[in-house]
Amino acid sequence: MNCEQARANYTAWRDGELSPPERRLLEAHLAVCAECRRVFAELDVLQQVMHSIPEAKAPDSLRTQVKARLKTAPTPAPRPWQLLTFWRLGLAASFLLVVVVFGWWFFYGEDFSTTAARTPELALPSTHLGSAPPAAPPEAEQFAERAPAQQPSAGGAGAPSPAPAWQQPRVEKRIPKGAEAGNRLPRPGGEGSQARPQPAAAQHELQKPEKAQPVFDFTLAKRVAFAPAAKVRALSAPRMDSTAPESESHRSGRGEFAGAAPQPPADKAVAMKVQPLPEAPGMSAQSTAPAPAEPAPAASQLSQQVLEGAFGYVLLANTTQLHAGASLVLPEAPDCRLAVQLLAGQGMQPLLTIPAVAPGAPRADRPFSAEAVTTIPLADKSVAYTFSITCNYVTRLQQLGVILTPETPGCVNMRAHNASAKVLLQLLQPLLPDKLKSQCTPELLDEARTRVLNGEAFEVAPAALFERIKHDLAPKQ
Amino acid sequence: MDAQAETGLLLRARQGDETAFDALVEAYFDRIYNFNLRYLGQPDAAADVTQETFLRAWRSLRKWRAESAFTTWLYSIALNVCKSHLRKHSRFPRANPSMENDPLERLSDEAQGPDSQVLRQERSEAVLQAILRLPPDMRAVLVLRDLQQASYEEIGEVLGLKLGTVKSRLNRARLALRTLLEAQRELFDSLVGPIGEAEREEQV
Repeated sequence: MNCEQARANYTAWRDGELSPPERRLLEAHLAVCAECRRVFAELDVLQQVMHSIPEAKAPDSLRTQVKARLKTAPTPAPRPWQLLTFWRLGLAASFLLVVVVFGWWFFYGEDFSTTAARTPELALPSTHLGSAPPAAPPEAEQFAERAPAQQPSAGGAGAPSPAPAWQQPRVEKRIPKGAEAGNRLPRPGGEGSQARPQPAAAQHELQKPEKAQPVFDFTLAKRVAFAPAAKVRALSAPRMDSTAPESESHRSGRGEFAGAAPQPPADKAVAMKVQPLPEAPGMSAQSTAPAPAEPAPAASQLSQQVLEGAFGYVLLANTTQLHAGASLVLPEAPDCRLAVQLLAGQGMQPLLTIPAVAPGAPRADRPFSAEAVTTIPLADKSVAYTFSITCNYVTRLQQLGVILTPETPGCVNMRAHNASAKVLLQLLQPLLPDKLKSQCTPELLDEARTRVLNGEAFEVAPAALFERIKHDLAPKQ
Repeated sequence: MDAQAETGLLLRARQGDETAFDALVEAYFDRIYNFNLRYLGQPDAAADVTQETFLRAWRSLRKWRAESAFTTWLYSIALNVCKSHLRKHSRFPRANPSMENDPLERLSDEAQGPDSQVLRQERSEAVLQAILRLPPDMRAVLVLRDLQQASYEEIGEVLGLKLGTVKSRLNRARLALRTLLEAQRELFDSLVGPIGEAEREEQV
C-alpha cells in the first residue's frame, strides 16, 4: 500500500469499515511511513476540533421573522387529486378510463386541444396552451396564438395565405357559445373580432359530434392498444410515408374524424387517419400541385419521440411513488417557446406547469430547452394513478420551419418511469362519451390490468396525431 | 422529537395547520440555520437562506414523501437554497470575520485558561474558514458529517449520492481541509502532540 492509498482509507479505517486484511495492510504502512502517521494524526485533530465547535444559535429575531412570514405564506393545501382515494374507485375504473380514452382518441384521433375546445362542456379544466386562459403570460399568449393568426381572416383583403384544414375549424370551434369574450386571447391586428362571428355551418358543426359519433369498435381498439409499440408503429409507418394525392374522402378532412361525416367502419377509419392530412377547402386550387418533395421525406422520419414530446403519457403505477418527467431540447429553434404541463389525478388538475419557457432556460448550455420533473407521492401501493404530460411546441415550430427528426441531437427526450408500466395516452376523462364507457368490457379491463401490473410497457402512436405533427412541422412554403 | 410525533405534525401541516408547522420549524430551526451558516459562512446570508428554506418547505410540503425523513428533506431544500444564493451573490462564500451570534465569540466567556481560550477560538475560526474554501460538494459532505453529525445515509439522501460516494467524498474533503490548513499548522501543534512532533523531527 502506498501513501495515497493509505490516506484514501483514512475515513474507512476510523469508521472500522476496513476488512481485516485491508486494515493490516494500512497499519503496516503506517508503521513504516512517518509522513502518513503525521497526516493521520492531523486528520484526527481536525476531527476533534470540528466536533468541538458548538452549534450556533439562530437569532431569536430570525425565528420570529420566519414564523411571521409563514403565517402570510400560502397554505400548502392538498390538491384535489390528493384527496381522491383511488383505492375506492378501484383499479378497474382507472383502466376503464385508460382503455376507453385510448379508443376514443385513436378512433376520433384529434389533438386534444382541438377536441376539448369543440364544445364548452368538453373543455379541459387545464391551462393547456391551446385554450390558454386570459391570464396567461404574454409569452404563452404569443406562443398559443401565433399560428392561428396566420390564417386568413374572414374579412381580410384576400391575403392568400390560407391555413390547413385542421386549423380553420379549430379556430371556429375554440369559441364556446356565449363565452367568446372570456376565453379568447387577443389576436394581433384585431383579427380576433373578425373570427368571432361564427358562420352558420360552423355553429352547426359544433353541435354535431355528439350526435354523429361513429360506433366504437372495441375489438380493433383492443388489438392496437395492446400491441407492442414497435408493432403499432409498423402498422402506421408505411402509411405515414405515403404521399398519395388526396382523395375526396381526405378532402372532407377532419370532419370525418369529428363525426360530421357518415360513420366509417372502424378499420376504414384507421386507414383514413394515416393518410396525409387534407388541405383546406380554400387551398384545393393550390394543392392540386404535388406535395412538396422536401417536407414529406423529412416529416416521415418523425419518430415516436416527437409524438411523445407533443403529447403525453398516462401512467398507471403500483408503486408508492412515481417519478415523472418531461424534457424537451430543441437545438434549432432559437426563439421557440415551449410549455410543459403535468396533469395528475382523475380530475386532471395541473400538477406542474411551465407556461412558456424562454430560449435557453432553464439550461443555459442549450439553445432551447424546458424540463418538468416531479415526484408524485402515492397513498398506497395499489393505487392506480394517472397523469399526463403535455408539451406544445408544434405551432411555433411550424412557423420556424423546424423539422425534428430522430437524428436531431437532443431533439426530444421525454421520460417517465416507475416500477410498473407506462401507456402512451392522453387522459381526457371529461371528454369521454358515456357511450364509449359502456362498451368497455370486463375482459378488456382485466387484460389491461394484468399487463400494467405485470410491468409490461405498451405504447400507442395514434396515427392521426402523428399526421398532425408531421403536417405541423413541415416547412412553410 | 420522536418519529411518530413528527409524522403527526407533518400530516397536520400538510393539511394547512400552521401551528403544526411552527412546531416543526422550532424543532429544526437551529440545525438548518447552522448548516446554512457553516456552508455559507455569513450570518446574514444564513438568515436569509434559513427563512427561504422554511418558506419553501411550507409551500412544497405536499411534495414531501413519507419514505424520506423530514430532516433530510429540509437539508435538501436548504442546500438548494444555499447553492442558488451562491450563484446569485458570489461564487465563493466568505466568512464574516466578526460572526454575530456565532458561538466562537462566546468562547471567550468560558472559564478556561486564557491561552486555551484564544487558541481554541483561533483553531475553530481557521477550520471554519478553510471549510468555506472547499469545493461546494466536499463542503456539503463535510459540514453535514463533521459539523452536523449527520449519518452517511442521511447525507446520501440529501445529496443524492450512494453511500460509497459519500464516504469517499468525505475522505477527500477531510484531506483537502488538512491541506488548506497546512499554513496554520502551528495552531494545531499542541493537539497533534508527541506523535506529530516526533514525526516532524524525524522528517527533519
